[in-house]
Amino acid sequence: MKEKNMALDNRNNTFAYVPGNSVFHKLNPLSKLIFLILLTIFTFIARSLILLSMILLLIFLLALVSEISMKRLIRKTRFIVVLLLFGVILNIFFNAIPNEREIILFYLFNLNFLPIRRLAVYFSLKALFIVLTLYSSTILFTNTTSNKDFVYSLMRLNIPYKFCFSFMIGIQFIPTIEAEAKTIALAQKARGFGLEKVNTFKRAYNLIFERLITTLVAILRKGHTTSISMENRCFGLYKKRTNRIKVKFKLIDIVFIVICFLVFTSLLLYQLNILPLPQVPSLYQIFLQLFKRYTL
Amino acid sequence: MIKSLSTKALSFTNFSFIYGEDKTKQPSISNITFNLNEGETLVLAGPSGSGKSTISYAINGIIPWRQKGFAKGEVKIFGKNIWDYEFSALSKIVGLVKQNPSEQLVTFTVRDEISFGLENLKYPEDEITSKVEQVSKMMGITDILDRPIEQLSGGQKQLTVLCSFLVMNPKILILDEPIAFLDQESESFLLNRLKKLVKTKEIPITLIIIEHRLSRVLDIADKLIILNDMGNISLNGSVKDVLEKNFAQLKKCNVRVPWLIDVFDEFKRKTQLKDDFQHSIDFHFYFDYISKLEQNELKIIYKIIQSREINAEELKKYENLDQVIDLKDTYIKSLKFKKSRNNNDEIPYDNSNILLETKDLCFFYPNSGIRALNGINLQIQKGDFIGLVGPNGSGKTTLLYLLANLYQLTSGAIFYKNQLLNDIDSYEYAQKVGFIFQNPENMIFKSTIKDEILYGPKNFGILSRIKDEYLEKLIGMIGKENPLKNPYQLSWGQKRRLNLSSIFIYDPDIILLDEPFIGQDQKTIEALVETLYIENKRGKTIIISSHDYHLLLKYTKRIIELNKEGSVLYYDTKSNYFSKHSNLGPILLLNEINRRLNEDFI
Repeated sequence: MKEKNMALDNRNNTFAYVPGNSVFHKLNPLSKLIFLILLTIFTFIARSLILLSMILLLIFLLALVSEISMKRLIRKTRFIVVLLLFGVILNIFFNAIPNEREIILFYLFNLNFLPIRRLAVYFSLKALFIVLTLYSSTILFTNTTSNKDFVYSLMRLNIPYKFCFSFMIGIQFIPTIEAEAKTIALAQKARGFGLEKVNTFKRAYNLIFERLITTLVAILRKGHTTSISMENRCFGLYKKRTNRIKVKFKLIDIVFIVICFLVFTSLLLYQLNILPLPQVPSLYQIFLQLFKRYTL
Repeated sequence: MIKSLSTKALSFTNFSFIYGEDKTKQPSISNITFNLNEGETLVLAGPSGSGKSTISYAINGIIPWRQKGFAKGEVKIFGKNIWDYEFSALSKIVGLVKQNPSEQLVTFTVRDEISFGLENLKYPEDEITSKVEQVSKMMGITDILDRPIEQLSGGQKQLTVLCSFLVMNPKILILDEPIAFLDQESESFLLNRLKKLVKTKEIPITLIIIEHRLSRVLDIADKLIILNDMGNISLNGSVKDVLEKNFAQLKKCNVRVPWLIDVFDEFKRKTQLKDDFQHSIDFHFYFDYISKLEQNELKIIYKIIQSREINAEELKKYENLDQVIDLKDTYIKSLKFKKSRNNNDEIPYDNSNILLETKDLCFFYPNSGIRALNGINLQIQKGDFIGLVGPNGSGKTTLLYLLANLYQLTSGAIFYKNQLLNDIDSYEYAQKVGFIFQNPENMIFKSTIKDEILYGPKNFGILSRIKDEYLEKLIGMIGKENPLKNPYQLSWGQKRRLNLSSIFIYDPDIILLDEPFIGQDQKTIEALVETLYIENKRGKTIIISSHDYHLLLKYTKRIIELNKEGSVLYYDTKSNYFSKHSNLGPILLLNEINRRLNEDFI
């Protein structure tokens, strides 16, 4: 019965801004964006699973510093972990490389049945780490960056203000659309729709032709008013407009970006074996050592 | 003398407009001719769909630049034809504030919003800052300048929109039903500031207010124009002239006239007062006026106020449903075939008669911990007619949703006929409750009127039980419309009546209405109230939430008042509610008359 109220949960919005006073909150959205881009590039280049897990740990540490509650972050990433673990298992069983030469770690059953191959485990775990890293870093970004700062910093990049405003209003419209859709769903329910079991086809028909159209009409009406109101206040009259709000680039931003680039370059060099440092052992090597010890 | 010298801000000459590409269509406004001088305030009223917004669009440039259609006649703004203006030039001198403030706010804080227009006009930063400060000081909102938009009340939001136009120094400002979405408190907050703006004339501005509740805005208006259903002007003149000479005609127009003037107009007719009695918009004028009256006159006026404002005697004509057939309204005719039940005005409390009961009802929004309702204990009698009032955010809608079993309560219990609501099959319970939502369009899901009305019965699986005759009558209630017409092509008021039809088709016991009057004209509101009155006479239990105190106090039997914390402040019969609220207009007057009568008696 509780699910009746599930739709009311406004806090459920994973990517909503959470006001705070941390270092990460104070950073310019653009420096955070640079961090995000570098991170994304690196996660796709990185080969070592241990390195990837260390980066994930770093993100969680940053989140901790940024006053994002660990409980919340874990709750938000939990479903991704479950989903991907399921993927890992599938990946292992239905391995796309049925190559006999590929190293078999062990058999799930002792009868040479269901071989677990090294590469399958590697790719599945890598996918898990990449998705988890990107997902949690995006949460870190959106939770610490207000729409206002983000949009105004985009405008500073000389991106046309019309695009920035439509982006911003689009984001601000999401709760309105949600609220409208909820009311319309309730109006259908009040007249008996969906109280008895309805087959999937009927449900899909309802969703597309009844609920969606009613919601669209409501939103278009609201959007029309918004656009009239903006045009009446001379929006779009000139190519440029005064930008009263300036999201400043502070010293802390420069320090942060320099650190980001330093870490990124050194990690990249390390990954490409250019830095004269010992390589991180692969999980396979650790596994083998453990296995040896176990057999000894 | 001064007026003849003042410049014409606006002049319409035989202006007509047809929306769309079909020339043969009925024009949405036709032959509009009026003038407005600079600095004057015009109140524009009329039923929904009469073209009030079309007129506002013709002034601010949406017509002809943004709206396809055919225009005839001419509109001049400061002596220059609208065709000779650029759209951008018009938007600099004409501002338009619409009904719903949340749809007009596009930025993050009050300061950002007020600066928005000036930023678009490329004003230098320091000039923007000083202008924003100036306007906010004038309108008294300096303390909320840096507050985020989402933390504002409805009135503050609307005031922010108003300021964002004022700061651009418009010559003409149009307010399109600016108080429709506001609660009592926000409404007076906004109107007080508006009155101050008009009276002090700190900014010389020509104001056009579109509003059909005349009592709210008439005291700041110089001129009054009323449109009719066909988009023609049916009344045009200065407020003083209309009130003194054309009041009878004004009453016939589809607008809500100020109740005080209405009462004293009837008094004037009954006592055949001399012509030197002139209507005023000022409450104190009447207050002083009754002190001059004699005892028998006082008794007459007492009776009029009682019958008009307290007991809604005009609805007593529906007491006997057999007579209803003589009335012209198609809907009321359609109800005729149902039998009426005897039903006294105030039902005595009787435990066996309790239909809905709530015990310690609490509701929290999930995960946010925001408490919408707090320990609600209500006993709702069968056949009661209840008005639900309270400020915005007091949980009126939530309470209605809970009673309709659309939300699941956090703690406490709801009983329907002494049975726990959770134990009743929600499918069966849904047939017993009819719910009318605030926006008529939120309840339209089908592409024809007929399908729309049959949507409920189809879901409930009772389609075979619906008699064709009954269906026809319910379609007739909307007006003479083709049952295969698309509901979206109906007028706003017709959509509201369609909502009612689509609920009456499955004959629910309880009818819940959430702010049904917003955006509706006087005729629709009257028809709605009459319909509900008759349905109530037939034994239906009705709960209606609205911020329109005046309507609810007049027509309902009992009042539930919620406070900001979401708990019940009052739950009492109307007469008790009145005795506890002596500051309400009619009560103040009645008490004064009573005092005078007693005084004379001694």
